[in-house]
Amino acid sequence: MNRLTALSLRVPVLLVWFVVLWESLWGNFTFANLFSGVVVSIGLVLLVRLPDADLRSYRGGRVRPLRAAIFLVYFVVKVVQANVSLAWEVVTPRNTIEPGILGIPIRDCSDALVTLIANAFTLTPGSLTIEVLEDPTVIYVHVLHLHDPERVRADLFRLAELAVKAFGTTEALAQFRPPPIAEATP
Amino acid sequence: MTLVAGILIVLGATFTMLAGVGALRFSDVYARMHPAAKGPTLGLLLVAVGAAIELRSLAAVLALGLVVILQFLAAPVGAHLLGRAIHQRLPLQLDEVDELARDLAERDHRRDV
Repeated sequence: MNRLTALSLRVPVLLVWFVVLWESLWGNFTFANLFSGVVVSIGLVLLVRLPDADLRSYRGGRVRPLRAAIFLVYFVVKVVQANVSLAWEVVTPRNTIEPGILGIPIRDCSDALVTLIANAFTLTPGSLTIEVLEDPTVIYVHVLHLHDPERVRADLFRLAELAVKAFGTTEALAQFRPPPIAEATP
Repeated sequence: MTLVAGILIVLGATFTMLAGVGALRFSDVYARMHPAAKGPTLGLLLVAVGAAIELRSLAAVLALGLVVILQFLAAPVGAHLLGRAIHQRLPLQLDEVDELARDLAERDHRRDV
């Protein structure tokens, strides 16, 4: 499919999607709502540049439902854990904060997948995405407790790995395989 | 059911409140952003689930689901933009690990060569 047909297909789909969103946010269906929804949607499509945000990258990524479910469960558990530990941090007077910024390299992922991983980093314990650089893609996170940088790095890698397993390409998956023994031992 | 919903809503509100306290109490801008980004997100999720249990109508569940999804998408993006703006203006202290500053310097260097 060439670019133009892809675009002409995308705009009506987006329009319908925005109108549905608008209707469900209002919570009830009236013609006034439908009309204002259509007006707002057309305005959005015309005025805002909407880059392609498909989770499957153009390089053969796909959604694996079971893996996606595993990622979702792991993610929700981490979000709860993040909030409980933050709440604990807030109510106890001790200050154990030791901040720092780590770079997590991510290879062969679509923009949408990088966005997903960066967002997931922000919502999980002790880490907050503050910058994403490209060529090569590296996600930089601010870490609250950097007592053991390699453990923090391993945790973040684990989260990224689950996301890539759910949505990424086979090439992207390769980066999470352990390196060959010859390289691993000095 | 009302009890479950009530507990969820109060729990959500508590997380959000503690996040607010954290944003006040933590020592620097970056640390303050952590509770500000995470607390309201889970807080809103819990309040929405509680409200959905209590209301039990399709329209409400649909709208609440959307609210949660949009919050999970928007909150980290906001924190990301804030964090990046802060980093450009206010580097970390010298004794702290900052791989972003290190890599930015390296990229600058490569461009100059």
